[in-house]
Formats: sequence, C-alpha cells, structure tokens
Amino acid sequence: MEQKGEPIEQILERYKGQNAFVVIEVLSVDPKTQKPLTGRVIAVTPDETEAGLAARKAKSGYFLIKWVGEVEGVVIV
Amino acid sequence: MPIVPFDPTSRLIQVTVMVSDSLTTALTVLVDTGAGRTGFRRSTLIGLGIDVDASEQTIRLNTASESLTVPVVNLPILRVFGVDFLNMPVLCLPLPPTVPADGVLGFDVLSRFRLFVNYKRGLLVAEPFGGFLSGAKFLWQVAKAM
Repeated sequence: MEQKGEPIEQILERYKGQNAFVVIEVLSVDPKTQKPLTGRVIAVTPDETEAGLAARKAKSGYFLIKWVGEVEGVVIV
Repeated sequence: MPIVPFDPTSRLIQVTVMVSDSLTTALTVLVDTGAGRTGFRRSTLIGLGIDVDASEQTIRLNTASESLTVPVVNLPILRVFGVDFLNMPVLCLPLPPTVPADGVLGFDVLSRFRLFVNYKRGLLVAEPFGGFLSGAKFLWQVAKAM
C-alpha cells in the first residue's frame, strides 16, 4: 500500500460513459477511513465475471470494481 | 463506529464494510431495510477469490420485481459498523451495473444493530445490541445525530 498511483476519481473520469467495469488495484488508502485514494487500472471490461477474475490480480489484495456508464436518473427500489 | 455519514443527495444509504481473508478490502454497500439477506455482486465475490459457480447451496430469492435462484457463499470475515461476522453466508446477487454499490446489507446483518437514520443530515447511527450500556450509548449517539 506504499506505492503511489493515480487518484481513483481521475481514473473513473477517464473511462466515464464507456458502459464497462473498471477494475482498479488500490495502492493507497485514507488512513482514518480506509477508503481508497489512489490506484492503477487492471482491466476495463463489460463482462462482470471477467472483471471479478481481473480483480484477483490485485497484488495488494485491495481492489475496486466500478461501473462507468450512464447512471443518471436510475431509481432503485 | 456508532455514527456513519452518508450522502443524502444520492437518495441511497451507501456505507463501507470491510471483508477479509488474508487481505482486507473495503466495499461499498447499500443499507437496505427491505432486504432479508445480505448479498454481493458476482464480480466482487469472484474478485475476493470465491468460486460462486462451485457453491453447493442456492436460495430462491424474491425481489420486488422478480423471483430467481442465486448461489449462497461464505465470507470468512465481514466487518460491518465495527462488528465482525465470521463465515457469513451471503448471496451472490445479480445487481444491475448501474447500482452504485458492491452489495446490500439485509435483515440478517442489520437486525444485529439498533439503527437510527437522519436522512436530512446524512447520518446513520448503528450500535450493536448488547445490554444497558449499549442502549445508553445508542441514545447518546442519536441525540448527537438529531
């Protein structure tokens, strides 16, 4: 977790709207909240199973799988 | 972790939980008081090293819109609001990609806590049941979250 990476928000912004899962290995976290701060991209794929398998490659063991697509107007019930 | 902040503008209660085996990962989940069971996305469970397709246990799940059969798998450690759940059986949920979370917390986990939600301020108070002191602590935290 000592390595530096790219800010997570910056990574997600770059892939925004691609309708895919972005798999990120987390490289640094907020020491208080443990929330991810920086990381590196492992994979970008529309397939959920593939995204999960890619996440296993995270050497730190800490990964994020984020959907980058249109979410505006989605109501969850 | 008695008072948990969330973004009230998202119209969802998103909180962070920790899952652990040999390594620890933080996941975003929805607090879903309408759900009976806790579950996670397929990709998340696979990423954690769990073979969801090899699960011998399945469960018939009735959601608000459909009925389906999903695998049940065990998480070695699930830490929610500071409480550890060991070998926790969780569902592999087919959450749509547009749901901004890795999973949902349902009744099986939430029923272990006293809960209070201040939607306006975006604050959730969660205190595990545990006697008089726990009850007093909960009331104190609720007063602070009002």
